[in-house]
Amino acid sequence: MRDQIELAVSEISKVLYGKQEQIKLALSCIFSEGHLLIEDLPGMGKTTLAHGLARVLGLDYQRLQFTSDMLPADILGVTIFDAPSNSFQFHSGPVFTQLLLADEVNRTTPKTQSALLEAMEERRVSLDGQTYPLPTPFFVIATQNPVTQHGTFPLPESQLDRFLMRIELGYPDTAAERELLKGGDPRSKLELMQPLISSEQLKQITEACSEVRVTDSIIDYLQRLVAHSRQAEEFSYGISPRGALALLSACRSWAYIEGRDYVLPEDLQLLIGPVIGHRLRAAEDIGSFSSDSLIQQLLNRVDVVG
Amino acid sequence: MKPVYQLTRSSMIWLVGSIVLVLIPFLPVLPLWLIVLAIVSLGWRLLVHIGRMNFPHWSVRLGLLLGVLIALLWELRSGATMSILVALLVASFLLKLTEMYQRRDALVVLYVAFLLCACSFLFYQNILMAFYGLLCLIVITACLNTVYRSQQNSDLWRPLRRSVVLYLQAIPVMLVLFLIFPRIDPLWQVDLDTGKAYTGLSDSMAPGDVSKLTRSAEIAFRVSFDGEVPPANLRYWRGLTMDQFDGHRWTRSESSVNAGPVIVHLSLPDTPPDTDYQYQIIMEPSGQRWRYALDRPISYPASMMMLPDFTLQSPEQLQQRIQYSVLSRTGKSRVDMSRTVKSRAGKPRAGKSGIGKSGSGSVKAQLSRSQRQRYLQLPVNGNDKARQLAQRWLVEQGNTPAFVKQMMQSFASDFSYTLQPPRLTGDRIDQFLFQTRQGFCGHFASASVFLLRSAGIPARIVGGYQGGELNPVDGSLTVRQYEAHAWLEYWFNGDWQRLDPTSVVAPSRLDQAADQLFSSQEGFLADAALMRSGILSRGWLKQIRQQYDSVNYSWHRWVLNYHQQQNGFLQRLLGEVTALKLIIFLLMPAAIMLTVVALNLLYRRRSRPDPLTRALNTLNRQLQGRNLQRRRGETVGSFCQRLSGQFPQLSTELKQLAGCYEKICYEGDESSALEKDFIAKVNYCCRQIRHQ
Repeated sequence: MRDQIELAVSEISKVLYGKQEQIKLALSCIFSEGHLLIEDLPGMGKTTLAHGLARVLGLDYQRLQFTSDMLPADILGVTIFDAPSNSFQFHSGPVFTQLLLADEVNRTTPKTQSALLEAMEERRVSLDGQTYPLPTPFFVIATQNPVTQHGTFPLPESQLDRFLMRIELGYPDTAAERELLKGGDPRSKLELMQPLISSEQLKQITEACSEVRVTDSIIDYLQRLVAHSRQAEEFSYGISPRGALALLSACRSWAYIEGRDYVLPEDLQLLIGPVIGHRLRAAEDIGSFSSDSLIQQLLNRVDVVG
Repeated sequence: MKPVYQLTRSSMIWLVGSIVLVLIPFLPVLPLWLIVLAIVSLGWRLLVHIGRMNFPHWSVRLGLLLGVLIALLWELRSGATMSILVALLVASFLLKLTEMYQRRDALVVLYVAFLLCACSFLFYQNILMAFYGLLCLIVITACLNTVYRSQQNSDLWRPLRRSVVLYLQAIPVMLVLFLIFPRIDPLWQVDLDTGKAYTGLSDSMAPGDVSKLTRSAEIAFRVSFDGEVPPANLRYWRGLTMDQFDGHRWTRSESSVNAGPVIVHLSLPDTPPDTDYQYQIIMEPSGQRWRYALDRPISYPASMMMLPDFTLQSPEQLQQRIQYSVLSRTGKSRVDMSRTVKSRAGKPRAGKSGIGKSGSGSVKAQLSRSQRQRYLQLPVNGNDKARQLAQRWLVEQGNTPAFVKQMMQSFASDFSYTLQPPRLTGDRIDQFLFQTRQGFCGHFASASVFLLRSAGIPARIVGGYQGGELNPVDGSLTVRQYEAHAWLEYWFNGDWQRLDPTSVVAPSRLDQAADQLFSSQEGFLADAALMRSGILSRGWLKQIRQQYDSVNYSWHRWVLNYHQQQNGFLQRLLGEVTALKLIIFLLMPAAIMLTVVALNLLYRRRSRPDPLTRALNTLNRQLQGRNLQRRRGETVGSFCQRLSGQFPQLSTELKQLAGCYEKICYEGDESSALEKDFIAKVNYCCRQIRHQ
C-alpha cells in the first residue's frame, strides 16, 4: 500500500516539480477525509496539484471556476419542469462528484460560498425540500488567491474551519523551475496520468491511518500546545477542540505516509501550521505577525518533553 | 426606575429559608407586630420576585421605617433594652428586604442574617441552639453561594452541598481556634434582661410569694454529685435566711448581709464520713448574689464568702450561668433535731477544704446579744392571738423541743396545704392560724417563726429549694423553680436546727417529686403548659427529655469548665501566658496550614518528572555551559541531530539515544530495559561531553 502512495507522490511530482512535501500534505489531508484549501498567487500550480491528485486517486472529478456572478444553483443544481413527464426534474450541479476542485473560491459572493461550504460540512445537498446525498468519498480541494488581491471575498473564520488544512505552494526552487521550464507544459502530462489508488484502497488507507498509534507523550505535548495557545496573549483565541482533533488526525495520516505506525512530535510541529494556521487569529495589537511566525512562536515556547 | 437585580429562583428559595430559620429563635423575644412585619415584607418581596407586585414606593418605605422606629421607642418603655436592640436589627433586616434591588442588597441581607444568627446566642446557650446555629450558618452560606454564582442554576441542592463541604473544610480551623483562642472577658457587660424580673427567689418574702414560683418550670440550677446523691429529705438547698418581719413581709436585715464573712468555723464532731457530699452546681442567672448549697457548706470556691447564717454569697449579681463546686456535710442526726453542732471561733477562712477537725464538741456555742435580739425581732404589736397561743404553749410544754412538737402536731391536725390560699389582710398570722388554716410553705414557715419568736426561741426563715428531679441518665439533679421552698431554722442546743412545717402538713412534699405532688393543684405550672399537661413526664417522652437534659447539662458543664481547662492547657503549653505568645501561637497553625497549601500547589504545578525527562535534564545541565542545551520547542530527535554536529564522535550514541527515546515515548514500548538503556546512554554522553 505504501509503495502505491510513494508511487502516487512521485507521479504527481512529475507535473508539480519540487513540491513533494505539499503533495504529501495534500494526500494526508485526503486520507484524513478532510477538505483542502490551497492558497497562493495565480500560476503557482494550485490547479495542477488538484488535477494531479484527482487523476492519481482515480476519482470522478469536477472543476468549478468560481466567479463573482455565480449563484448557489450553479453549484448545487436546479429543479426544472420536464414537459414530457409532466413533472419537476432535479438536474444535479457540479457538486455531485467525488472530488470537487473549487477554483478561486474567494472570488464568488458569500452566498455562493456558503452553499458550497454547507455541502462540505453536511456531505449532502438540500434543495426544494429534498435532500440529495453526495457521493462518497467526497472531497473538496479549493484554491484561493491571497486576500490582499483585488476582487476577493475573504472566507469568514467559521467557514475556514471547514477545511482540514490550508497549504501554500510557494515558488519552486531553481532546480525544479529549470526542470519545469525544460519539460514543457505539465497540463499535457496530466491527461496521461493513470489512477494509482482505487477507491477501495483509499478506504483501506483511511482506516489504516486512523489506527496509527498516538502515545500519552504526544497527547501531553498537544495539550500543552493547546493550553498555551489559549493562555498566550498573542492569540485572540486559542485552538478549539475541533482544531486539536483535526491536527491529531492529520498527524496520523502523515505518519502513515511516512511509513510509521506511530506519531512523532515532529509530525505535530510540521502539521500544526497547515492544520491550525487558518484557525488561529493573532491578537490585534500584533496583527502584523503572519500566522506562520505566530505558530513558530507557539512551538518555540512549548516544551516538547513533559 | 432602578434596574432590578433578579435573584435566581434557587437564591430566592434559599433566602426565604435563611430568613425564616434565622428569625425563629427570636419569636419569643420579639413583639408581635414585628412578626407581622416579617410576614408582610417577606411576602411582598416574594410577590415582587414572581412579578405580581412592584417594590414599595419610597414614601411607603419611609412610612414603614418611621412606624417601626416609633413602635420600638414605645416598646422601650418596658426597659428590656437588649431585646429592643435585637428587634431594631430584625426590623432593619426585614425592611431591607423591601428594597433589595441589587446583588449588593442581597449580600447586605445575608450578612445581617449572619449577625442575627450570632445574636440568637444572647438568648439561648444550650446545645440544641448550638446545632441550630450551625444549621442556620450552612443555609445562609448556601444562599450566599447562589447569590455569587448568579447564573441560572436549576439545581436546588447543589449550593447546600457546597456549603456543607465548606463547613467541613473549616472544621480544622474551628477546632484550632476553639482550643487556643483566648476567652477574653467582654469589654462591657451586657445586661440582657434588665427589664424582666428573673424567675426565682427574691430577698424578701410575703407568705404567698413562693406559690408564684410554682407556675414556672424553668431550671434554677443543676447539681451533679461526685459520690452518692443525698436522699430526698436531705435535699434542702439553702439560699438565704430572712430575719426581719414587719407583720407582712420577711426581709434580710442589713446586719445579717453586711456582717462580712463568717469567722467562726465549724468543726463537726464524730460525723460519719457518709454524710459528706461533694457536688458541682451549675446555676442559671438569677440576678441575685446568693448561691445555693446544702446545709452545711464546709468547702466552697474562694470567690464566695460564707455569711454567719451559713449561706454562700458572691460579690456579684449572677448575670450569666456559672459553675461552682461545694462540699457539704449533712449529718443524719440533723433530721432528728438532736445533733449538736459546735462553732468555734478563731480559724481564718480558708478558700477550700477548711475543715477544722480539732473541736471536741463539749463547749456549746452561744448567740451574741445582738444576734439574739435580731432573731427574736417581731413587730411591736399585732397578731395578739398568735402571741397568746405561743405563751400558752410555752407554759404548757416548758422546753423548746416540746414546744416545737406541739406546734407541729397542731399543724398536722388542723391545717391543709394548698397552692391557692385565701387572701390574708390585717393580722395575717392570726388570720392564717385561726381562720383560713390553708397555706403554702411560706405561710407555715412564717407562722412558725412568729410563734417561736413569741415564745422567746430565736428563729429565722430560710429560702431556697427543696428536692430536685434526679435524672437517671447521668445521675444529675435538676432543680426547677416550682421546687422553691421556705422553711425555718430555730436555735436550740447551741446550733440552728432545721424545721420544715410543710413536711408535717403535706409529708409527701418531701418524698414525691414536686410535679407529681402539685399536679392536681390549680395554678401549678400555669406558665408551662407542656409540663403541666404531664406529657413530658410520662413514658418514652420522659426518657427523651431526661436524655436531652443530660446532654444539655454536660454541654453546659463542658462549656463552663472549658475556660479553666483552656487556661491550664495553655499554661502547660506555653508557660506563662502572654499576649505575644498567644498571638504567635495563634498565627503558627495558620502559617503551617498556608505553607502546606502553598507547597501542595507548587508540587502539583511542577510534578516530579519521569526518569527519562530527568535524564534529559541532566544532559541539558551538562550542555548549559556551552550554550548547547535543548531548546523548548526542540524535539529529542532534532536535539540529538544538532548535538551530533557538535560532537561527531558521539553521533552513533546520540542517534541511538534519539531512537531509544522515540521507541519509549512515541512507539509505546515501555520495557524497563529500554529505559535503563536510555539512561545509561545519556550518562555515557554526559561523561564524554564533560571530558571533552
